[in-house]
Amino acid sequence: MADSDSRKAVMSAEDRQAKMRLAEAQKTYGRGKAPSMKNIRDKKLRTTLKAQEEKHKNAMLQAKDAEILLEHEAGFLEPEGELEKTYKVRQDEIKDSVGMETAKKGFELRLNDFGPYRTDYTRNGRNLLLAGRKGHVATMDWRDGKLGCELQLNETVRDARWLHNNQFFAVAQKKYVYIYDHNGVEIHCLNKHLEPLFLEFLPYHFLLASVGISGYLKYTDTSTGQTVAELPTRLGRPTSLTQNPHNAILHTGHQNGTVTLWSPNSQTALVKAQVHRGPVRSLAIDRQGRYMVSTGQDQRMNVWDIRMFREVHSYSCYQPGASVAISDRGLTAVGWGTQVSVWRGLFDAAVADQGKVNSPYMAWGGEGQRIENMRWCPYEDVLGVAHDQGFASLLVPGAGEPNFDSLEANPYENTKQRQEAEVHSLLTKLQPDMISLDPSIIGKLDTISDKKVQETRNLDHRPEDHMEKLKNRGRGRNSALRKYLRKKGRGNVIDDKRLKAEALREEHRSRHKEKLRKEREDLGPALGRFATKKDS
Amino acid sequence: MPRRQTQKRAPQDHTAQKPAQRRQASRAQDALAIAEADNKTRLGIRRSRLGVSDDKNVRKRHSARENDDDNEDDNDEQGPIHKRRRTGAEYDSADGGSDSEGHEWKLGQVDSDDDEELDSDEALGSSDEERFEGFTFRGSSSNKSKSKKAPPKKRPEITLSEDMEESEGNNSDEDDEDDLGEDAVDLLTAWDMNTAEEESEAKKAASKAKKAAAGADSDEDSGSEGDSESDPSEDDSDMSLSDDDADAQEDGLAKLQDFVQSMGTIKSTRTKRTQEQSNPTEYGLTASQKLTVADLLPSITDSRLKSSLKHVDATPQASNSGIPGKLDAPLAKRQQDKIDRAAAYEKSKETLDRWLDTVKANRRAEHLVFPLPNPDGEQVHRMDVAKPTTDLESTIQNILAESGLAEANGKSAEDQFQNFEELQSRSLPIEEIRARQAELRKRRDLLFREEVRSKRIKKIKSKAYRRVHRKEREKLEQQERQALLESGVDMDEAEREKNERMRAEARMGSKHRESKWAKSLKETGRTAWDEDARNGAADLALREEELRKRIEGKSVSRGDDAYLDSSSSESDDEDPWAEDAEEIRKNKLERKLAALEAEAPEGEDKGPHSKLFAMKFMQNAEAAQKEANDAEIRQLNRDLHGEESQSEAESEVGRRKFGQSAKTDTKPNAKKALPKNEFEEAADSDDEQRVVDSDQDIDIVTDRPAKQKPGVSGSKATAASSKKLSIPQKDVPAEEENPWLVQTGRNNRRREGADTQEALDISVSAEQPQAISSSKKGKPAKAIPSKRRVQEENDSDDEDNVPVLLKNHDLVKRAFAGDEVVQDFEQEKMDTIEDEGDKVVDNTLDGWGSWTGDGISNKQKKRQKRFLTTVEGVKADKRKDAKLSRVIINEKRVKKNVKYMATQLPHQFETKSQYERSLRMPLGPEWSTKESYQDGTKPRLLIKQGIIKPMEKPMV
Repeated sequence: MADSDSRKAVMSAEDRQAKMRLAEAQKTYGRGKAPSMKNIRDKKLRTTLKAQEEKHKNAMLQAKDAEILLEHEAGFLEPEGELEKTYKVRQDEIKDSVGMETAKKGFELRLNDFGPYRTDYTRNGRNLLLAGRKGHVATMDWRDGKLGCELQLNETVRDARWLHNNQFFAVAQKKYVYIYDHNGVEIHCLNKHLEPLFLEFLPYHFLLASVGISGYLKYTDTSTGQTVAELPTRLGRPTSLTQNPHNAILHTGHQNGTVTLWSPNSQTALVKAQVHRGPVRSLAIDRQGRYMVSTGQDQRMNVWDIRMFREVHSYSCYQPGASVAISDRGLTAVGWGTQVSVWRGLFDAAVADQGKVNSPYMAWGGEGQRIENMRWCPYEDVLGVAHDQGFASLLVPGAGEPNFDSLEANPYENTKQRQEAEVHSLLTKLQPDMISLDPSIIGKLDTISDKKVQETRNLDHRPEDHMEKLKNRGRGRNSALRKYLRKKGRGNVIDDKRLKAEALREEHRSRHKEKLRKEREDLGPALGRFATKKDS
Repeated sequence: MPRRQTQKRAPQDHTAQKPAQRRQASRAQDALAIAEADNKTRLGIRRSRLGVSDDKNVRKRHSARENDDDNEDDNDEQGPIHKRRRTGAEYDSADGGSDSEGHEWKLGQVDSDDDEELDSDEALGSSDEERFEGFTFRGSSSNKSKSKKAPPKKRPEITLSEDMEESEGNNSDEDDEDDLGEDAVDLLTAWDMNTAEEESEAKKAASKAKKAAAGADSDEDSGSEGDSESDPSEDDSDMSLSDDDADAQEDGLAKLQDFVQSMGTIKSTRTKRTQEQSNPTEYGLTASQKLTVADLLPSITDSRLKSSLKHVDATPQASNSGIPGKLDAPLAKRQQDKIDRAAAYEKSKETLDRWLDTVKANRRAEHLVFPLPNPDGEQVHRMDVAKPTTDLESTIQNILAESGLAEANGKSAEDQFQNFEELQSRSLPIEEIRARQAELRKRRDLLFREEVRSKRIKKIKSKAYRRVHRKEREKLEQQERQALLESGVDMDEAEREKNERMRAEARMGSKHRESKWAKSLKETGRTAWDEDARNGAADLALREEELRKRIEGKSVSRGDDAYLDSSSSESDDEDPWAEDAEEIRKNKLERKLAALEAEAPEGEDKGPHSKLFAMKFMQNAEAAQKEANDAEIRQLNRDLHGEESQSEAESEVGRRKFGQSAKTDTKPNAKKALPKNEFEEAADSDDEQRVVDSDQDIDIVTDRPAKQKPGVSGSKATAASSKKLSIPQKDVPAEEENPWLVQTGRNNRRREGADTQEALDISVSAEQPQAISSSKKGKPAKAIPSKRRVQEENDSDDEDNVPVLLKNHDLVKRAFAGDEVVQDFEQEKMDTIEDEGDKVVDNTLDGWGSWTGDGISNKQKKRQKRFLTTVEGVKADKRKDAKLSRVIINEKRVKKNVKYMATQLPHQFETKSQYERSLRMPLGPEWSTKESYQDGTKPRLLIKQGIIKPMEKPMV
């Protein structure tokens, strides 16, 4: 008995290992549970489904195994003792303790004149765009410190955004949105986007969205230049705009504390949520599209689960948060007044139902620079803070995704790669119609009831008669009917339509003959030969 | 030869043909054979006696008058030629031919081709037909009609000219017959008796042979038909074959009978017409009646001879046709082809069937590569010892063998072992060998016994037995798991999940409620008198109660022991968190309490004895018992909770949070408690709430001072411990004047589960052991994140700011006091619900069915019938945001998205989930590894360039 037990234990140890491996793979790469196959009677179906499950499983395990290729690891600042606080660590301390190359990533730009700046990084984190309220726009390769272009627009600049790569950027100016290329040459003026306040670019759909003072949300397809949608928010001047990277839905914050969710396919907001009591100051959504962090004028920072539309946490701030940004690894930076605090594990806490995180991970500021805008640099542990006196690049350990996927965004790409990626992304561009709250609807079964379908269908609509069209369009050699018979009537397929067409043709011919005969009769035997053969 | 016969035969007159057919029928029926024999002799006479003249009567019977006329003419014209020829070659002599002579050359003629015709002519003369007029052969009607139809179809008169002589001859024959028919009328009566007998006999025989079968008649007929047609004329059907077979069966016996009877009849008839007939042969047959080998066969007694003649017997058809040893006529090409095709089909089917498995396998294969791998190509190499072939190899082999790395002379290790053992056994003393064998036997015996035992155990149906054993097993497993855990291996995730699932199922299941046993208890009312049953019922009720509590989210200490076995062993045997003696005692108390409580509902029994229970004295007794129960419950509750609260009061630092309590609706409490649990500043700022709290519970207020340092740990610990308690609390009206405050209540409620865990976490750091002990379900504690400890200290840091913040929040609140944002939002939501909900449309037309216009009184207006239709929308409670007070979710259908959705379930899939599952895993290289991408996109058919040969043989 004992012997068999031990054997069982050994056996199960191996099994357990395999199971554990599978479970781990399932956790990260699994896509839900397989439906039960017990009830399937159809043998063929059962075998196909089983094969499919097997494939899924293999894919999962392989993906797990491929993790070995991820060479970098992410790490956070860890305090040594209880008395040490990570948020007390200053930037210069960090710079001292990291490598030289990394230390170079932390810098400050003093731009006192053109007042509060807004900033944006390209998708691969290589280039930086700075736009000052008073018309100063500059791009730079921030790592090398190379300036791309610098413009003085002599106009109010409210926002600026990179488009799909570092070749173009859009600037929301006083009246319209303009698009410039990397040299700073204005190449487009989007005059449909009136008095834009905020800009947002959806990279997979090539959609540039702006929301104006009038409260209109406008989408323009930057690959075709067409306006895709103009949606009235009807809530006055919006106070913030952000996109959900998971499903390309735009979130707009409003004066009355509501946040509305928009897709270009619906004229009304998909969701409207009362998030704050006062105006919403800023919004941010994490990369997986699960949580939204918002700050409001009511000195609150609320964390919402936007899958269920429930508030998860509510924090109070000392001052209304002017800007929020969430990094790829879930660090949340909140800029309030002159200070920035970075929170760690806001969402982990929500997941584990653990209660709130009570202190920030890192802090910065308090030096009299009012924070205007913040962005996390993709694939770097860098937070770009734009304030009224310039720009600061902060080092925040553990913020960025350490391993990049060059199929997605390549920080080290060369020109050729950039061009190829551009073409590729244009080829795989998603249509604006595909945007929906649940991005997985594509291909799914539409479960609307038949009754509803019947209701929507116009029952009085009479099917179009092709013959009618053929009958009356054109005459002579190239009449529609002749053309039809020439193009389609030759085939071997004899159907109703074809018969009808032939009958029609016959009718035409006989009519014509009759006409000719009559004409001849009228003209008499001598002149009959002059009767026109053409039917006119 | 037969071919020629047909040709000759074909133009023949109908009269001639019909008898031939008849004859065949008679062949099948032995009786007729005899009649025929007689008939022939008579024919001979007639022929000789009567010249060429016609009989109208007979003619009329055959419906070919024209032919007959022609024949007449022919006869008239060609009479002389005919006669002359006959004298030259044929058997028919002139009028006055002597019997003996005729007989003789008739005998000689038997072998000749022409004779056969004669034979058939004689088979059944027209006179016979007359004779059998009244009698119908079985299925004869069809036969007749066929035979009648056949001639015109076959041969128009034109052909007569081709085979002139034959027709003439026939005609003459026919004439003879006819003549005789006239004459012989009187003779017939003399025969009648005989023939009748024969017929009946023949019939019997035939029916015996082919009884019951529906096709019997037709077979016979067609047989006769076929014979008549097949022998002379070749176009035959396979029917004839079958008939032959059937005939063959009865051949032996029938022939013998035939023979015997013919002997008898001939004898009897011979006396009358000896002078007319030819001399009988040795066997009593006339010369015209052919004697075949087959006829003789039955008489052979010598077995050797028989065997040598077998082949003759084997071809009865040949004998039937009267030409012994002759081959069957080949079938018509069509028939032959048909048969060939059938056979070929069978053959090809067989060969094709061999491919079936291969085809199936290929069809089911996920991927196919052409050209297909050659099955011969991948021969399995024989795992044989490689023999050294070259010098070098042999030297190496030798070296290896010497060094013991390879087996000498190519023997496998196994062989060597065996050899060795053999040798050993030889050298061993016999006792030892015996001992070994005995040992072996013993082992085998033991094995066998084990097997038997396991079989026996398998058959045991006792639940108790099973339970006991299962528990034992589980205990072992548990130990094992524990050991594994100790050694650092985490318990299997999946297994745990499975356990949980099992537990949940047991919980959800109605095992406890509606079992057969429970029903029977209810029905029979056995609880009234059976102590055991009553106990059982009580137990049942108890469990039910427990379950309900559990579902409601209250923890039950007694828990799952009884039937949730998986957890029971854990909780019973070695619960690492229930080690406290105090704890155990408490558990006991609680259990008792639960039992008491559960007993109470038990009293209100519904069943056949409910009347009994309804009686006064019973009720009294019950009431008394209940009172006692209640008292005990109260007592227990008191010392349980009192004690606990005491201990808490001592231990507690900071705020106190009350979770679920046994009797009150805990939601409002949770809501109340929530802000405290929150970020400190926020909580403190809520002044109103604190007031509410203090109103509500004094305990909490007394705890307040401790709030000076509201450590997270403290609050959490209390939360955890209080969860266990069931402190009766006043139900506070849940309606909040301020929805703002309600908001986070939801979170808090959801977080309860985790709270216990947190409590655990902290407890490991040995701060509050009491708190830990109370939680039982907690998962194994993981390493405490140091972060938490850090936070605790942070709190104190943050606290300095409190007054400022407080002020700020007050200010903010005041600032937004005028904003009725929330109310507006609620109003909007209401509007949306109404807008998207059901709508009633009034389709009433004024004046439709009633008067309208000026001067219509209100009463009349009201009386008008209203036509209302309801347009269905989204019901308020069916909305996605029905439970979300601060969210409005648009319920309108986004039409633009619809075009990317499947309108119907694609073929093959049976359910939506199956289909959607098939889309779940992305294929693209962006989302999966290269391998799985290639695997997923590999085409089913891969065809390599070049010649693809067909498969030579089945592969599977």
